[in-house]
Amino acid sequence: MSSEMPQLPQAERCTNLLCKGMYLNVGQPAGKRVTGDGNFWCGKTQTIIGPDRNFVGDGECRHTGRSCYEGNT
Amino acid sequence: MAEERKFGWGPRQDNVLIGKSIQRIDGFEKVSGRAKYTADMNTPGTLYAKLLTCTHAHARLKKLDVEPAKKIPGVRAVYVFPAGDLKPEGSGEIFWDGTLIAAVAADRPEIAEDGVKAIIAEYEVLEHIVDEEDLAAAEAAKATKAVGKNAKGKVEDALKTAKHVHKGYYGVNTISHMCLEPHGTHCEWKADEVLDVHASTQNVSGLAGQFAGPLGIDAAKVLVTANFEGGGFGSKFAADEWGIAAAKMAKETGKPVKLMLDRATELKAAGTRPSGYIDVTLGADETGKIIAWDSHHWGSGGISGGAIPVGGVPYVFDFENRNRSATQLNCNVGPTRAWRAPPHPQLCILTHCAIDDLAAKIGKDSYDVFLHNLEQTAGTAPHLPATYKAEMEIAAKLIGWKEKWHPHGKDAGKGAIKRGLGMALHTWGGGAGGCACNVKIHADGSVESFVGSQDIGTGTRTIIAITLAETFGLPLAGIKVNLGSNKYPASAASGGSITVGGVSGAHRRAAQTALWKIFDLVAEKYKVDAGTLAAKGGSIVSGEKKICTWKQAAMLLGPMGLETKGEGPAEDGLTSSRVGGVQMADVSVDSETGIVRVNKFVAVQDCGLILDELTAKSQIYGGVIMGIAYALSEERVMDKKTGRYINADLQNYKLPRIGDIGEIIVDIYQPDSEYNRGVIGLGEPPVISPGAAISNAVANALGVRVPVVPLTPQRVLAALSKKGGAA
Repeated sequence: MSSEMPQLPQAERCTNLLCKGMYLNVGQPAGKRVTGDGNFWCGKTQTIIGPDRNFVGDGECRHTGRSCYEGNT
Repeated sequence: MAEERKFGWGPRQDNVLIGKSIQRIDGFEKVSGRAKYTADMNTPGTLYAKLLTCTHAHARLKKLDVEPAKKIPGVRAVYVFPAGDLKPEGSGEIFWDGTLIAAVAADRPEIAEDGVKAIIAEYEVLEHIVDEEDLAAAEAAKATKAVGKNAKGKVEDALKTAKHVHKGYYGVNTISHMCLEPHGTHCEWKADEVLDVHASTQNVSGLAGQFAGPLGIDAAKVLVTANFEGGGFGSKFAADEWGIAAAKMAKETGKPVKLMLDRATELKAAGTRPSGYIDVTLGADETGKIIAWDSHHWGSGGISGGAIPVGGVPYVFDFENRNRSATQLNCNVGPTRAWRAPPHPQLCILTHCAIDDLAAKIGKDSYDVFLHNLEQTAGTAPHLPATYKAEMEIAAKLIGWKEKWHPHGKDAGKGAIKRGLGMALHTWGGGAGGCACNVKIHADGSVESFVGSQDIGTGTRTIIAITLAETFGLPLAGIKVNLGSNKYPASAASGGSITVGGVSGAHRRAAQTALWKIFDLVAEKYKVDAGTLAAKGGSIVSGEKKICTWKQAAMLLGPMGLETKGEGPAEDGLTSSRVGGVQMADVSVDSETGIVRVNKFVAVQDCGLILDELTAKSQIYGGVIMGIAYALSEERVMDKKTGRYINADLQNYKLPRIGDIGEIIVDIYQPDSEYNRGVIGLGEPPVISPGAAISNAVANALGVRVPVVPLTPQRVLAALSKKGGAA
């Protein structure tokens, strides 16, 4: 269920990683934010495959080892 | 000075509009064809785009030559999607049938289709896996991933001591969203490099950035409009690669470009609801109380994730001793997206069919077993056991449960037609989404609002108008609602049933803030106590005494009128979250043909304060109809040999017709205790239980479980054959 998805610090994720939950959280207090239903897409390619031709995901898009990773720093 | 003012809804008995059955304010536009959907956008010079998609489940693109398409007169642009880009060397792997390769924009649709046909694409076909149910085969192909397990209590010990133990296998196949208006956009570049996008979207306020990034422009230069939408059901939150393609081709040609997905691509590439299958063992004590649950479920959300997570089973209930684990199958099928109440319909089937079979094994009425275990739903929300109990009683009376129920397979009828009853429970959050709005009261008394939300077919415009009209004591005609533009105050996307709470709460706050200012002005002019004032019937009144008309009050605001802002959500009692819901099905099954017919379907639903009974009931009717569809006929059919989605069209993707639906009884459970909770979303809940309720009714009719939903004639006959023949 969407409300049971793990809540992760935004800064860890690639800034291009998107999911439904991010568009439901506007105006919500921090404790009530959800990450959505686990279906992610890349904001750059607008598909589930990133610019580096690998799949996107909450786990896959949280490290700088990926060539297309863009952090919020 | 008035007494302390607090946001809130008025006493139930005083409402003039709230809670009444009110037709949609945009109903005439919709039924007359005046409502313009994205698919209707045809500004002068618009080019029409068509798509080339891959016809293999797994392949490597070896060659792509788009030059022949460019040579066709009338073709204005050809766009190659990332999957069609063969650089760098070694790329080009395609993972599902329907992957977008290229788009052609032309003066007319048929020219664009000619362009698509002229493109030369050559593939190296690779091994694929598309069977989402066959866990062993997927494991052998190394196409699985454990997605978690967790446990509590002592399941093995509990199963040893259980009086009754049931082992079962259940499943539900993948379906597509089947939005009647496919995904798509109309993109037009205006002066000053402004991109004007009409999109079929659930996310008006969230799309600008999604277009801006890939296009390399400022989000402030993207205008997104969605006046009407022909269905989204959770699949329309992204700009999507076809949206970017339309914008880029519009830029290249200097002309507007409309790119709406064709039906096949809509079904293959624009989102599906993931499948789910479960092996489960339940144990109950001598009273029928469930004391143990041990399960492993699996399924696929596509090639890279999106399968049903490990949490969620047992659905609604939780038991003292419970083990659960889950495995994801990475199949060569189109990616999943949120589908109305994700993934509750699947969880409901995987859980409540098992409980129903346990009840049969015990020799008890399913109703009694569900009832006996209701306290074990309190972990979801403390109020749910009482709500379910009340709703079960109502539903049972409406369907005649006690009169009609019989033990599984014991229909007294002697012919081939067997009748049965089934039930299921569900829950959903539905709390208010974030929303900002502006409400403007003009000096002439007319009222309008501006909100960057969207009406995805659910009646959002009407809800806003009711909220404002009730607050100001005006007729609906006195309210103009402006939504569907990202240039209005930002509102959350419409998903998860959060919109009605979000927009109604924010508009009530804005309206009450404005009304209090007006009351102060009226009090000063007419020398009355502002705390005694109310807005009713187009007037400002103090008790039974009319003080002035609404227009006279508005004139006190001066020529500029008054604009107030509303925001939310807030903890002020206007909205709440977490609903229950009980559904029961009465079916007839032809044990010779395997055809299932729904005779009667009862849906009892709580959802807090009802703003418009008609739109609320419409949501429930719609949810039940979608539920009957996936229960009986709707599914994605993948050909194991070719790996292709072979029923991706409106003829072979079986949606029910009117004659397949049967009688639907909707009852909204709204005692004062529910009214006082405030507004809660309703879009998701009613679609959750139909699959389980109908499956249980079929099991009751036949005395044999048809394990996988949808309950097609083929599966019904297969289950009967396994049992040993007709029921």
